[in-house]
Amino acid sequence: MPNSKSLASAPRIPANFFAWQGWRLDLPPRWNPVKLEGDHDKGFALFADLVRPRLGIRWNKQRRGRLKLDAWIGRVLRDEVGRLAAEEAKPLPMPDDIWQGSTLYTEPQPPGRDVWIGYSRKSDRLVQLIYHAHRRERLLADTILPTLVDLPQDQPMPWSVFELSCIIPPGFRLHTHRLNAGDLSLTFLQRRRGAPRQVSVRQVAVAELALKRMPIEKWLDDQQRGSRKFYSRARKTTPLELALGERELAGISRLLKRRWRFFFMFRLPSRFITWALHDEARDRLVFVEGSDEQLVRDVAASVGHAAGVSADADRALDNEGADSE
Amino acid sequence: MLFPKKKPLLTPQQSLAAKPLRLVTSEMQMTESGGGRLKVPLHQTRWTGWLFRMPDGATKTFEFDAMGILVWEQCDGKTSVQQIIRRIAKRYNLSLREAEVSTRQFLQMLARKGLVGMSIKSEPREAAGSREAV
Repeated sequence: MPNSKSLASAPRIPANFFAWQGWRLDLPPRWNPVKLEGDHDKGFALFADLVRPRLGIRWNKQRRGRLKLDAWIGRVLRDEVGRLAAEEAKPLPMPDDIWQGSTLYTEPQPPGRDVWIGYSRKSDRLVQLIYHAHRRERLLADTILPTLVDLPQDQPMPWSVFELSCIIPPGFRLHTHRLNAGDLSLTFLQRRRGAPRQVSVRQVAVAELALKRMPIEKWLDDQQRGSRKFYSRARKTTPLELALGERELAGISRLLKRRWRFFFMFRLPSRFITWALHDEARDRLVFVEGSDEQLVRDVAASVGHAAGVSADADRALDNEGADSE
Repeated sequence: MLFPKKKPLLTPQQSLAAKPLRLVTSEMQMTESGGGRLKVPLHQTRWTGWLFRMPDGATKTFEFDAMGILVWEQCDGKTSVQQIIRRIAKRYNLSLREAEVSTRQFLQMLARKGLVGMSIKSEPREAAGSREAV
């Protein structure tokens, strides 16, 4: 298990970065995910602004031994844009040398789709970006593609979706995600012999309003309610403080222990610890729940690391807002 | 298909350009917690009149939180849904999608309760949304 130092050394990502299932991308601040499907090996993500879909990402893993890369890329491109258009696609050199067979098709007469395909040697995945072009622009090739990064699974992995960002130790896979407006949560699982290790991160916005509705102790109760069937909770909560650079998070923690009558359920972690933190600087409530304290500490220290919303992104949003008003 | 799925008749642009307008004239009473209460007089409808008689001066109270008040205050018939979404996102440091989902749903709820109406360029109504951001 990595310690806090190794997590801290993981790449820092600004807020308008989107990191999901091992890849990350710098996206315009107005684009948000509207569809997220699949797992690390195969999946699809769709990004849209307020008006229309803008970008789709598809990834698919293939064993290297069986791979005939050129044929595979050609087939995928034909499926996406058709045979005639696929013949017009051109190789595109990428700044990052992990990409093999990088190919770009640019729609000559928009509206249409610009499609890029590349094979990542780091994760053995074929990644496909489909940009919905409404006028002739080189946004995909010049702005989006240079920021595409694929991360190996044996390193701490950053995740960033909407305002929730965290860095998860290697070996964990996303188990469930629940992305409701104002209530975002991700649960990760590391399968191994015996009880799996588990960590979940939940972020509630806006803390100012949430704490007016009920105090943080009640929020902690609410967070642990789902586990109460198999776990009994400690009577006392422990106050805690976490200093993350300029930010200081204060909150409480409480331990859950597996009930004696479920002693035979060795597949369940024997204890859970939940931290409920108030991130005043970001005005968010953060809950981190995990099967061991060091894991919880590591993950909690990384929550919101992408929150320093880049001044450029904010400025762009303000300017666009002012224009339309 | 026997019952084809109803298509939403408003384009995304039209629904974003719609301008919500308050349909009740009652004043919002602020509470200590930063929220507010809106008392709306109830009117006897023809069908409920057959079953029971409503007492004179009957009111219904709606409770708003601070974010709800911010939206309510902007339902002036001049501010578009898109502008409200942007202001909410900026004020509470939310992503546009989060602000959009919660604002749209809140406005739909207000419209269902008869508290706001939408001024739009074309007459059809919009399909209901869900709370899920993704």
